[in-house]
Amino acid sequence: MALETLLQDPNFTLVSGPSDCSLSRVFCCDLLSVAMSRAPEGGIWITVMNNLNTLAVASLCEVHAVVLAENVIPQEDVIQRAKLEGISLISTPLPIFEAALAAQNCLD
Amino acid sequence: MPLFSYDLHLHSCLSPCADDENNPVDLVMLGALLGIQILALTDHNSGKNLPAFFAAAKQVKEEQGIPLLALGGMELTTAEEVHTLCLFENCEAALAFDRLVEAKLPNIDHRPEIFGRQLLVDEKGEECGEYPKLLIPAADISLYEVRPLVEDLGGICFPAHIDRSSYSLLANLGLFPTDCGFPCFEVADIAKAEELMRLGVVPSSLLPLSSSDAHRLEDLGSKQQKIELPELSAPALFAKLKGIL
Repeated sequence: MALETLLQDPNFTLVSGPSDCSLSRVFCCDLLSVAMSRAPEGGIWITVMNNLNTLAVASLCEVHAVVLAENVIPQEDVIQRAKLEGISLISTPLPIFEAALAAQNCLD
Repeated sequence: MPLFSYDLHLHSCLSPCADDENNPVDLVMLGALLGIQILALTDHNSGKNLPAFFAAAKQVKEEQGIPLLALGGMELTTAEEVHTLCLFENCEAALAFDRLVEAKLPNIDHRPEIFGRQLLVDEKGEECGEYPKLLIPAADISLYEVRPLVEDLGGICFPAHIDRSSYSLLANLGLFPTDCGFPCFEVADIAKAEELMRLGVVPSSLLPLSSSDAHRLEDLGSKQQKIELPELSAPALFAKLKGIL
């Protein structure tokens, strides 16, 4: 799936990065130490962890898109890092499960 | 009792997220110049730059006659990804803790292009290499395990920046676990401490602290906090932080 399918859902707002990247799998995790060794390459990662290191880990794992769920507003340094890495950063008011389900439905 | 200025949360160039110019020797020199009397170097999950930090502190004290209490420390990332400040009276105790934590860190190679460099500095203040294991991930030490480990080495530990939205006790656990036995706590914004205690989020018996969490030299001492102690010594400071004084 390309990210633009998910972005047609008004619950998802693209904060920065490309709107048309391809996505391999949906991944949910809030502990960066776990995500660091598990986040799927090319995946879309749903989290509430609003930290610069979220983007560093996403870059390490070559994740294509990061979704901040639960209305978490990305910090400015997080947005800048996402831009730098070319990772799509998305925000949503949905809880993690609903956000992941919506992404999975686009993927199927 | 006299008041002493403190900054108990400093990162050197060993912390990947800190400025590469944050030499531990410069931290001591600048801290002394700013008149900060108690300084603790607390790199992420490592104490490898502490020998340089202590050597510089010794020089400041002995050659320049400036009263300074230097503490060996670490900002430990616990298994819950809660940043916890651990302080020790001397370099040996801090390095013993460093060895313990090093064995509990996952073996992930450092990627400086992604996380920033992890620069090691020798006692002369010269760069002498780069620490190879990534210092960002959580150590396999839980919040309930950390205090006994630190206290066995004569140190003290408490949760860092509990008012922050990431890597903090309140953000990650949702509450302040009193059974962990932390004697004090750090807030990024000291004005938040009173509110947290008034709302009962943090026990009102605990001492709030606020330090710079300096990742750049210019942040050093930015919180301008002071603490009342009978004398400038680690035992006096630790007793105060434990609420004994």
